[in-house]
Amino acid sequence: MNRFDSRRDKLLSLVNAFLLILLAFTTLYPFWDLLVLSFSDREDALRMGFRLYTDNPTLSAYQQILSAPEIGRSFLNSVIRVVGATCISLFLTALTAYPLSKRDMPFNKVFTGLFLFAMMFTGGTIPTYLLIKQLGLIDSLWSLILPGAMVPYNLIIMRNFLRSIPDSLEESAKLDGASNFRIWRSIIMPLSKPVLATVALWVAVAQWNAYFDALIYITDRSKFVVQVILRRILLENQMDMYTTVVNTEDIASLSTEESVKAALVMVSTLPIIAVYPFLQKYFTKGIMLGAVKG
Amino acid sequence: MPPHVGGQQGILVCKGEPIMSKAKSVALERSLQLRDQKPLLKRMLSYRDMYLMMIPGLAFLLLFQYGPMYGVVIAFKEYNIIEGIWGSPWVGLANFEEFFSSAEALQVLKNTIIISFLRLAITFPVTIIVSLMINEVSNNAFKRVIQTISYLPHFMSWVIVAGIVINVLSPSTGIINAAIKALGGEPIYFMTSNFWFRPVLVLSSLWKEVGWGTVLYLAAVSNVDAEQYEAAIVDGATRFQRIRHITLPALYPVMTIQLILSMGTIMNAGFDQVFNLYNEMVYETGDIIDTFVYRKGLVEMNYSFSTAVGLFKSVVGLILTVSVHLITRRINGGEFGLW
Repeated sequence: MNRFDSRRDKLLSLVNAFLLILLAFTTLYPFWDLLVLSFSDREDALRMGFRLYTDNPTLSAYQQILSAPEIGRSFLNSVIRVVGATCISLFLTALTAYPLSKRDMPFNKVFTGLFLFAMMFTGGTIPTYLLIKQLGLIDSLWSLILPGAMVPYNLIIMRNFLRSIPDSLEESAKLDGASNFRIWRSIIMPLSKPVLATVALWVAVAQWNAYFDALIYITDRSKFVVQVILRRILLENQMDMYTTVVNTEDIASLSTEESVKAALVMVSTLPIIAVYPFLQKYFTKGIMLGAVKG
Repeated sequence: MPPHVGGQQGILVCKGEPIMSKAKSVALERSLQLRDQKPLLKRMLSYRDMYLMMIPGLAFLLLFQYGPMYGVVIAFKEYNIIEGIWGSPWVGLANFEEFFSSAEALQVLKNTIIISFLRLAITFPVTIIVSLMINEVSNNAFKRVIQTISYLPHFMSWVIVAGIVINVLSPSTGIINAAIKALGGEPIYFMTSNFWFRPVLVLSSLWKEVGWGTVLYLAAVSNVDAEQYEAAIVDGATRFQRIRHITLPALYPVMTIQLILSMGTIMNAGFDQVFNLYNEMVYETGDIIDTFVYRKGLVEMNYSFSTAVGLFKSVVGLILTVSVHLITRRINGGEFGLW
């Protein structure tokens, strides 16, 4: 490589780094803008253009959110749904994946086929809605937890992982007369921690972000989840229904509607940010598991 | 004891070195297996607790995935609440005829396919280019920062991303319109413009998913032998030549799979995104099959009609997915199917 090439290489690296910084900035700026907006007072919030900082930070938008009982309640409902669905789903998926990982089990292909077909073909919105109604789950948080508990895709991923565990590990326990259930609990599950973590995070993130089921199955406002409140406030401009102005004289000191919206976005993404290091690690792992299944 | 093929491998393998040819060992395994073959009932009995373990999972599957499939019959009926799914009168294909003879059918089908293809045409190449760019970074700390930041929006719900998009594109306070005004232009009402709605869809999904999309490609690149690059440098290959002749070919398999996979989901134009971003003003360019099904069914309460349209979409989707699976399997010689 001559000197001209190496100089050109350095220039290329710089251009590349600059473009990637631009990409990162484009990704981050909208979040940063909302973060600053959420702390801005009335005057700053209505300013147009780039928003990199605010001179007079105020917590009033966050106070407005905290003083709204329905918003707090919706966070609790979301937590209930995430925890409930993750526990049930993880247990069901792990329990079902183990037998399906045994290629020699008679009728394995039939059972696997049932799950695969459900992955490719669904009844659709209305038939599912009618079923939930028939089961009496309308306006119950169970309508958000139970239907999504058995995700065929997660099951296949877990089955493939279990297949990679050598049978020889189970042999000795089998000779000692341990039942399959015991082998599952004391040998297979401890070895499956990475895939369990992956599936748990998949379910948890999907449940935290899910809004459509909650939108159509839940009409009781005390059972709304965060995403539904977000949708009503961010996209349908129904903020007045959730935050109450206590004293009209205070209106000048209150944050703008836009700031309250921004604060709400910040608070509702906080759980995702909190587990983000794990998400990055296990989701990346999971995408590989999905890529080499076969 | 059930025949465990894996367990028998111990006989054939010595200190991890195979002592007979693979074909021979497979043949031996098969003969051992055949000798072990017990009657079906006996084999099933030996798996009885395995079957018991599957019962809860199967119950959930049958109730929540197959239960709604029964409800699909209302696509061929005129559903009314009093008579229920079974009691409502049959109408044959009337609901399908109504859909296909309506002006909306053409519009939502057209929108669905156009939006899917536009998104693919932009997202697919841009993701590859960004992967190549990230791969060229030699400083690992910088690389990790870029990856960490660019993956972030993938984990946000479309409700939140829609809120962000509306904020960024707002005609009064949005940064884009601030720039337009600063340059002396008139503010653009992006969210209510039939001209802008599709570009907004494509660009916002690019913004959300481009970083995450690089994961698979970067994994494929990491499998390339570093010696190949060293040899290329010795031979005097420029950076672009190395990308063109080493990195890019390493990505071809993933590219093929990704491209074929997206063909299987062409009927899904992104319900969550469109549903959270669209409004009556942009039905003309933005209303897709899924949003149409939602409105007809849950807003207008036209259950049978909505189910029929949804069923049409599901069947086309199923045919596409299965074909794609068969193609993928053929390309990879049975090594890499979708399941």
